[in-house]
Amino acid sequence: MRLQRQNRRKSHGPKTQPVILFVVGDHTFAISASAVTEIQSTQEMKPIASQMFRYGKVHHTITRDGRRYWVVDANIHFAMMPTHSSRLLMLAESPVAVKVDAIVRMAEIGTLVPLPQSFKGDERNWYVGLTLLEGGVVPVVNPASFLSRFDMEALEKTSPVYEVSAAAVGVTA
Amino acid sequence: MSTARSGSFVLFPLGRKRFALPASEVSELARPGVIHTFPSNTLMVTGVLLRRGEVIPVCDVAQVLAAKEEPSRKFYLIAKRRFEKKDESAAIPVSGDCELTSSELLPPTGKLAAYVNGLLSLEKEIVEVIDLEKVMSEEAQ
Repeated sequence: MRLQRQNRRKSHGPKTQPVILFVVGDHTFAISASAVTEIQSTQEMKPIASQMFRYGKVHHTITRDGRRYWVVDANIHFAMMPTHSSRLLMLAESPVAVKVDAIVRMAEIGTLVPLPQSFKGDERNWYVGLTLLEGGVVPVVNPASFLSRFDMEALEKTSPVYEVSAAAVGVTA
Repeated sequence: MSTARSGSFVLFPLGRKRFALPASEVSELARPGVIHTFPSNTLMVTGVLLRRGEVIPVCDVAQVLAAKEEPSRKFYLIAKRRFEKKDESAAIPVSGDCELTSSELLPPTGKLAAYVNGLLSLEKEIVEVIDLEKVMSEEAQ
């Protein structure tokens, strides 16, 4: 019985998953392609009037199909120096768009290496693991780390709904 | 009653001083390689090395042991770190060649840092044997 199970496992072959590689500053990151619905330019972002949010990593929103997305500045999220951002990764599982410098390309990654236990800081939440790509080590980001549910609720309270454009609301009505 | 214990130790230089780790915690001395960095905020962990397909975190203990000197980091001592789930290799940048020695571990005396596990009384010097986990812990910083 056990042998059969082992054989079945073997027949699956090496698992790969598609990721989107993006850059922020000097660093390249990967995010699972299934975590991103689309990539947008930063032109349609709107500034948030209220800046009550404790981390200050959300300064803008963007509306797509009547849905408001909180724009998380990846530089601030990863505690990096400011750089020139030009793209937004619109996340699939939450109303969050991540502002990054540029998209590099898509890639297939194999095994996800767990983050070594020596890393004990915020990076344990930022990354789901590391991947080895073309002789380098690329962190694979955890899409859920950009904004927690608690953070989003706090933003909802401080940024009223009227910031969603009337035109976008009209589309969904 | 004697509190000294005999054992093997790896002596490594950091700046002008030498420190020691129990030989059982050291696996090899590695040549300098490319450090792969990515954003993180764990103090003293400056990136990772890729060695034979293994991702090894770089733990720059010089920040605690020889902070004022800003010593050069020429090689990496690959040491074992103990964690609850499993042990893990860590690359410790050191300033030069390392040496294996057998000596008695004397208990720490006087006002020594919390990370000093004991002392080795060698021919020309007294060397502090460090507890890597204590060096890396927040208390030691």
